[in-house]
Amino acid sequence: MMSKTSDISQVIRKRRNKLAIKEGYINLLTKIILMMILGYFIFSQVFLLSRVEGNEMFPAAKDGDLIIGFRLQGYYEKNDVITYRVSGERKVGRYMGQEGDIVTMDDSGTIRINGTVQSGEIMYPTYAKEGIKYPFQIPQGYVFILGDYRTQTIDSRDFGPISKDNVEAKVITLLRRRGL
Amino acid sequence: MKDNNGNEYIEKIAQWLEQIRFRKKFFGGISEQDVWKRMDELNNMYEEALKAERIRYDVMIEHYKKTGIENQDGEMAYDE
Repeated sequence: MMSKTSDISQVIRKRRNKLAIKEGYINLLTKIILMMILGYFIFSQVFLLSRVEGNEMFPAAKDGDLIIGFRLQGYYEKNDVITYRVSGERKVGRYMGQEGDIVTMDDSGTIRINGTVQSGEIMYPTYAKEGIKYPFQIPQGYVFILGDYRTQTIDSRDFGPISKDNVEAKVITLLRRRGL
Repeated sequence: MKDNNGNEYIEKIAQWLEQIRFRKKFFGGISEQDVWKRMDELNNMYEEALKAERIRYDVMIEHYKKTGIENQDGEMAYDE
């Protein structure tokens, strides 16, 4: 008799264990979904995770490097490395000047912003290209962006100043994947 | 249903417990895990009650064996 009643206990225990396993899987799945939603929100609204295409920022960033940008920066300073979009393509460049600034380039490969030489740690000369006449005043709502590989890069000297709306994020971290 | 020392009934209960499903409520429902916990507690209480009842029956049978109560026909109410 008592062994039979113990069968009932076993059935209950079996059902409880089965339910605990089921609930464990549901909880795990819920956590994974929540993490995915949170990750999507963080990397689409707060941070930016992207791969560097090309060597336009050489030697600071090389082709294939991973960058993490901060989208909520709002205000940028000279020489900040930023990501921006041109014709739907994401590019990485160095923020050189904002609206109202006057950009000047001469034959010696020197760039001046409001009369001040912008040398920084760039090892390539900055020559003017066709299309923009210097001195050039950056219009309202635009910024001037150059790549570090000044002799090879395509930047604001080619397609002109970039609308502030097309600036995506300030690069805060770079993960080098090649040529370590 | 035959009363085979209650085993058949207990088997039926065990089978019922194996197959039972609870209707889910999205809001204001109760935890199924808690339901099973309470069921386990209830089952333990019933087991204790059945055990006590079994002991009581055994004592009564022993008592009848010793006292040898006769029925209306003058025969022993309990044959060994």
